[in-house]
Amino acid sequence: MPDFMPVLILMGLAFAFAVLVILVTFILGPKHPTPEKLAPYESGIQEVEAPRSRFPVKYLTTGMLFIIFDVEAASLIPLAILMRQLKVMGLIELVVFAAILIVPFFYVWRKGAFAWE
Amino acid sequence: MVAGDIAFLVLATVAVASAFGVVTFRNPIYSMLSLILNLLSLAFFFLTLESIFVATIQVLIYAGAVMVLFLFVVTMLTPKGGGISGPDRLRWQWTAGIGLAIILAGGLIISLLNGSIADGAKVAGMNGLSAAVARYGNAQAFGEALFHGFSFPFEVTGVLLVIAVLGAVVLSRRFAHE
Amino acid sequence: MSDFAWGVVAALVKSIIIIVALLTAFAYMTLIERRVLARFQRRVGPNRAGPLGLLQPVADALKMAFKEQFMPGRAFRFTFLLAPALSVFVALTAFAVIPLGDRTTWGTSPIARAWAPFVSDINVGILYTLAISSLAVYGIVLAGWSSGNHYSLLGALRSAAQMVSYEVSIGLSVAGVLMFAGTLNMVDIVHAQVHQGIWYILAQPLGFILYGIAAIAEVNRAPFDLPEAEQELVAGYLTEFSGLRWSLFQMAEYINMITTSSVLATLFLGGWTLGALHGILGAPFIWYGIKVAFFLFIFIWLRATLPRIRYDQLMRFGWQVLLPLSVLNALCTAAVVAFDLQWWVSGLIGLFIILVVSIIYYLRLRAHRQVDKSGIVPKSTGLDQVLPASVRLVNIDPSQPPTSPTHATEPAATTP
Repeated sequence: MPDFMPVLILMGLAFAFAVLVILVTFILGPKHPTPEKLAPYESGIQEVEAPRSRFPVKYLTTGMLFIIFDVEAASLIPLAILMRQLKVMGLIELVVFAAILIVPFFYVWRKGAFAWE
Repeated sequence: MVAGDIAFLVLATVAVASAFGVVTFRNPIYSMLSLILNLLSLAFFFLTLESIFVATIQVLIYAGAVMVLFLFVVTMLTPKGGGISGPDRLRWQWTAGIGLAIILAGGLIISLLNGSIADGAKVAGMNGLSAAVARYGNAQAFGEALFHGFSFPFEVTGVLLVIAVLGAVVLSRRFAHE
Repeated sequence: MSDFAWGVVAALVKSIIIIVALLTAFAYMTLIERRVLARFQRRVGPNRAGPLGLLQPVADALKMAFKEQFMPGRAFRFTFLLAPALSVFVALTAFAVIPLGDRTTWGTSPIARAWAPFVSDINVGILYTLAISSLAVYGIVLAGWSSGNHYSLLGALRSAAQMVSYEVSIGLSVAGVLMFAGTLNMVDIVHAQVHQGIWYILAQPLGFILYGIAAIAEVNRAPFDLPEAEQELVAGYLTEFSGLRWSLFQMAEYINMITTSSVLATLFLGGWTLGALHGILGAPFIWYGIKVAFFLFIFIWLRATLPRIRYDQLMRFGWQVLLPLSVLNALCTAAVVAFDLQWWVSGLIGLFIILVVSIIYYLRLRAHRQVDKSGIVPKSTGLDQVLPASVRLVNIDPSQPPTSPTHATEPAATTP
């Protein structure tokens, strides 16, 4: 915890700075809202339908794959820093872990999860 | 000691308040933001327990990865107007939820009064990890514990991830075809 | 005063210095980028405000502050304001573990150690930077979502998908360096490089390139600046932002660039050290500065040189090229480290993989070019001439390809 104290102080100052700038934006600058200005930007054409309706499921698949491979990367990091001590034992663990994950990787590839049309 | 107590009280307040926010906000994006706050406060709990590695992983995986998926879902499926309105369709949820909460709280109180959880944690901490942390540093100690005692569960985690990949792809393919 | 109080004072002073330095660096980065880009395009660039245009950032800041701070009517007020603040907060805090120099040597007391030239020396080092940077995606998605228009939301979603796709490669390409260094602590990683007598770019050429590419995508810079692809998405998630709120996003982007360059310099180029000249007074900051400036120049150079790549290409490249290569790199490095081989074995393996991949890309590129020279238009499968679904906003019937798609892709002849 004492090691982390300076980071907390930096976080506090960064937070204060961000909030300060946002507060300043309320004070400075003119404000002349008109109905046209407040309308959502649509390159000058009338809006057909509001956003926030439905979007390709692709994004969701990417999100799920990301979690899985991020967990993989995160579990490899403690293994990586111990590789010098664990030696061949560590290499075997890494190879087994990678092999287990390579199979679904290619399965997903074949299923076209990475192909955005 | 006093500083630690104050930190605990502040963090506990934030954690409970944000957890409460998750279930009470009408707008799902605010629920999600409170859940992120909740996960971040848990990371700070790990920090107060001198486990900076677990705290970092907590931020990296939960706040940085799992919640991104929530973010996708919420931004994509938010209904017009941004809030969920109308009467609750699942009224029995309230009764069921309160019942389960009472059972959970009761279990926690009993085990805390017995002191079994706290004692166990203290003993394990004295003998194993904290000594290793003092010797090598946090991440190394974690790795040592993981790859000397628990290498088989580590590989099984890999299999779990495989199942998750397959599930994700199969489910999203089915939705894509519909 | 107690040691703890002195620690707080030191941390406050250092944090303020770092925040001010980052903001100044951001301001002058914008000027330098415009000047350098202008040079690339044989223009002069902004040179009117002050000598050499040095007051341009001040003029820009004042202009931004007094612009109308606009918020669209449909915006979600709280998240609309939270998004820029969050972006800049994440960017500033990620810098906490970057070492600008060694631990202090003029004293071993806690007070002396507190004044070392970095905010903190926590032993999760690089992992802390990765964890904090992974939060950057919230600022962008919240901005796009709360703006309430199609361009913003689509830009934000694209940007989020892009950032998460490349984040995995970042984590895995760092693994090679960690195996050599045996620690996560940034200062210790530099010490390990001094101790082993090399910069890790020599042992990890592939890891360096993978990390570099993934980092450019992670900070949304050209050629991966898809979120702000003007031709398709206006300005992506930035569309509805103006004035200082817009500046905050720019600030976050440039500070992230500086952080990324610093991580690259620390992990692969020995941070503040420089071989034999290491230890000359005042040298640490200079070497660190030169290395970071070098990477920042490369960022600008890439922006001036490369066209933006298409979204489907971007996603495919991230998952099908970068990710497998970074796993391969981790496996090869693990083998070298586990069998206690020399560092140059890993370096040669890395160079070999780079060579093979380059040859494959060259051959594919040449195959495309020959088709073009002979005048034969590649046979259309019907699907490849329609915009990818991730790019288009309306559905196009694949059975009716758009008119003359081959001519549309030809670059127009330019007369100087």
